[in-house]
Amino acid sequence: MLDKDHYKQYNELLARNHQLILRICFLYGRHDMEYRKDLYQDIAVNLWRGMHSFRRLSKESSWVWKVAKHTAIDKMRSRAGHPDIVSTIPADVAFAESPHSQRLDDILEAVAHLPDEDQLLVMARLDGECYEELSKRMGLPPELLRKRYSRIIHKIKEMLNE
Amino acid sequence: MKNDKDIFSGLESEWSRELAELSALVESNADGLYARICKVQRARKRNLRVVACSIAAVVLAATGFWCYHVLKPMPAAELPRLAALPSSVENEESNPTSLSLQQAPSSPKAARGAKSVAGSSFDSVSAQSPNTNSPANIVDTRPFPCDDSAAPRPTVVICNSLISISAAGSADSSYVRFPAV
Repeated sequence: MLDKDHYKQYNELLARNHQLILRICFLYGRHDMEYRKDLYQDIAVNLWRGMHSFRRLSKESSWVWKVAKHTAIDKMRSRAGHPDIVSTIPADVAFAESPHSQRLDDILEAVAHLPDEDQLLVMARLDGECYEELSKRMGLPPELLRKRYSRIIHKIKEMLNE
Repeated sequence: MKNDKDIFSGLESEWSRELAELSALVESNADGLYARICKVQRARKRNLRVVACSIAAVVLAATGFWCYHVLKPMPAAELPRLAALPSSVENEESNPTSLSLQQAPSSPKAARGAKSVAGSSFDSVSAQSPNTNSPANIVDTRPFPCDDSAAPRPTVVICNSLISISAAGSADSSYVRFPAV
């Protein structure tokens, strides 16, 4: 049914960008694991659709990030007319989360409102990447990244206090 | 880094745990993902087939239109005139230089038909080789019954499905194509 080579390439692409897609699922996942799982699948399907037309004019990770983000936003819009998913699932699934988890979700929700580059920076820091690694990946000096990160944290705090 | 700790302190383990949980959930659903991708692929192939069929239909329609309006069949009124052409045309395709005197139009009726095409009287009828462009065999030099000797006399050359008619002393000539009967 599927072209084996093509499917193999696709699996490799998915494996390379697995963490990135998971991050997006957390950012736009509405505090719900089932929703995040569905979102991951939607993103994976859209990556398969778009793989044929990806001409490698930009970095692969940037392209994956864009596809994932647009899929997440589309999914949120398509659900906008429906009742909030959190209110429709059993309480023990929706709210049996630790205070840490709740705080993390609040922070992630705030991060979702930031520009793409800031989102990437925060998520990479959460994954434990150091500034030197990030500097190589993003092509910016580590000092600049440190300053930018401080500004982002300040902004997130303001958003959480509102 | 002080700010980092303020906001994310104690969350790194939670973050890793949740990531691992989602990762496991996604991997357990790999079959579902494969099924969805197969479905997408089937839909894509179906769409490609629809596009190919549409293009083929448009090409066929255009060809049909062209055949009907450009390659019109010959009007029925032309057929009797063609039938009146000399029978020498039968062998002319294979060997244009083999035309003979006996095969030339001998009846005045046929000659008059030919005259009406040329619009003038004939002096001679000859076969011509297509390669050398030189008269190969003069088949009839008799003047036609309604010949006007004062008028300029054209030359008629039969060669490969063509009747060439040219005025005497002129390099210009008109061609009339007729099918092999």
